[in-house]
Amino acid sequence: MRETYQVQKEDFANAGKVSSHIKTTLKQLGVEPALLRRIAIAVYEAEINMVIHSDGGAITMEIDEGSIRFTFADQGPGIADIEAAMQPGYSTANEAAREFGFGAGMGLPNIQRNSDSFDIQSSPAGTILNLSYEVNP
Amino acid sequence: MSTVISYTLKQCTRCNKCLKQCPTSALTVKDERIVIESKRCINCGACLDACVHQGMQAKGSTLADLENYDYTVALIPTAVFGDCETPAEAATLTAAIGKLGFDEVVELSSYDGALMNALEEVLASDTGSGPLIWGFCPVVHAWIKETYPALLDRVIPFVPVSELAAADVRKRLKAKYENIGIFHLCECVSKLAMAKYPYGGKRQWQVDHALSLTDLFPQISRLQNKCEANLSLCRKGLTQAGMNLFLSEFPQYDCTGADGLVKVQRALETMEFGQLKKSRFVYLSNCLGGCVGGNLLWGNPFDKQVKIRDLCRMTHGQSAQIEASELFEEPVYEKSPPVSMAQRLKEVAEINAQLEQLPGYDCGACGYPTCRSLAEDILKNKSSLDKCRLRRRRSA
Repeated sequence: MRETYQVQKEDFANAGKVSSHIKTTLKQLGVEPALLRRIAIAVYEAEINMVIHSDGGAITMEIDEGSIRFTFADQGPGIADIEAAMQPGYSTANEAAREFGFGAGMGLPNIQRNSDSFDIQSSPAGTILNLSYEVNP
Repeated sequence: MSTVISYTLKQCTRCNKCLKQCPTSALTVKDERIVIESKRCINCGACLDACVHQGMQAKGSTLADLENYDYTVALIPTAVFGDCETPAEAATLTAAIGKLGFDEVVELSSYDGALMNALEEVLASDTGSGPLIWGFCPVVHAWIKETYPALLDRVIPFVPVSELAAADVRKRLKAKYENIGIFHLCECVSKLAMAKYPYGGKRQWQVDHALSLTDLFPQISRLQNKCEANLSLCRKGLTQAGMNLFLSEFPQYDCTGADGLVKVQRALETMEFGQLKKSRFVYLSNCLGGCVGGNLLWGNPFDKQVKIRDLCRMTHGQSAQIEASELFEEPVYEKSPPVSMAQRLKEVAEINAQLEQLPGYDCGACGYPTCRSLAEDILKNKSSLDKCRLRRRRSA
């Protein structure tokens, strides 16, 4: 199964809808609760990051009998200092995002904690975040 | 959870209001009758409210069952006192219930008080991730089990208050009577269901019968003016019956609450994303305003929250003394047999392929609550694509 969803820049009103759709799909697939929770948390945080910080992009979900994988690919402007962004509490969120209750600066570390494998590459042209989870085949 | 709701009309007008209100898609219309899928039903009672022809009913036991016992005890839920303005009124209400034919009446506020005290200890020592959930509402409990199982480990596994009281009563009376009948008078549909179909736990179930308070109301009302009695309600226990009152009991903890299906759903969805980061505890109740809004009670939940707050200021009873080990139970949840991801992917792909043939409006005209549920039954050869009215119209 492979599905791709678009995410718009600063579309706070719809932030989280892709994650909800993904969560519903995973429930239909009978993904075990503890794993579902980890994926839900990671995917939600990553989607919100994309809305707040990026110029928009796409989320791709791929599922086969052994794994569940996500790719978050945006169109920039990139994360200037990934190492700093991986520290809990570090935030570059603007005022508008904070007014919506987003941008507490826990996103990336939280995503990493809730994934089996975590890989992030960033340049001014865009950031690509890959997450994957093992499932019992 | 097994359902206590049944459909009673000969023929349904097919307005589909109940289908639309059911949060777990447990209802379908087949052959002009409503069919309830017992396994999915969480006994919230939304369909009872939705049916304009009073076609849905929630039934418990009846007072006729009193005759089967040597000694009978009525358990009275705290929420019922939301109807009383003074402790004296609460006392006459309790006495009137006794006159329905019970040998003894036990009101539950002191047991609720014991659970409230235990809750405070649980909150003080919790270090888990995400807020704790108070599992007193059987609807919320069943809904989490059915739809949000990832949150189950955050539900505090308290023994239901009616069971706590029933066990205590049995212990006290067992030497004196052989055949004791314990009747739980229920303020909502889900408590009725819980007493009839226990939702887990290893204990022996202590309540024998569940009675609906709505059914008894006319009789209680007639008896109430002829009673005099004394009663000492436990203030702490009373507070759990109203959501606002309950939350104000724990100012030192970051507690929040949600009442009604829509808000409860929002809270559970948010929790599943790990987004309730500031709250350490969540009070969730299907009924508006907490148990005082019980769908088998009379009156409105708004005034009742005020009344029960006032009542709290006038009562000074003690909490029941119960061993900590008796307050909690180890929850038992049936696990469905594991199905391989490859198999699941195949099934979902088949359903999705079927879904593409359907309009996706979830209009309910076919009798199924959603296009997906129709698609699922088509694949089981229980239904067919021509059930869809929109498809029929489009191809005509």
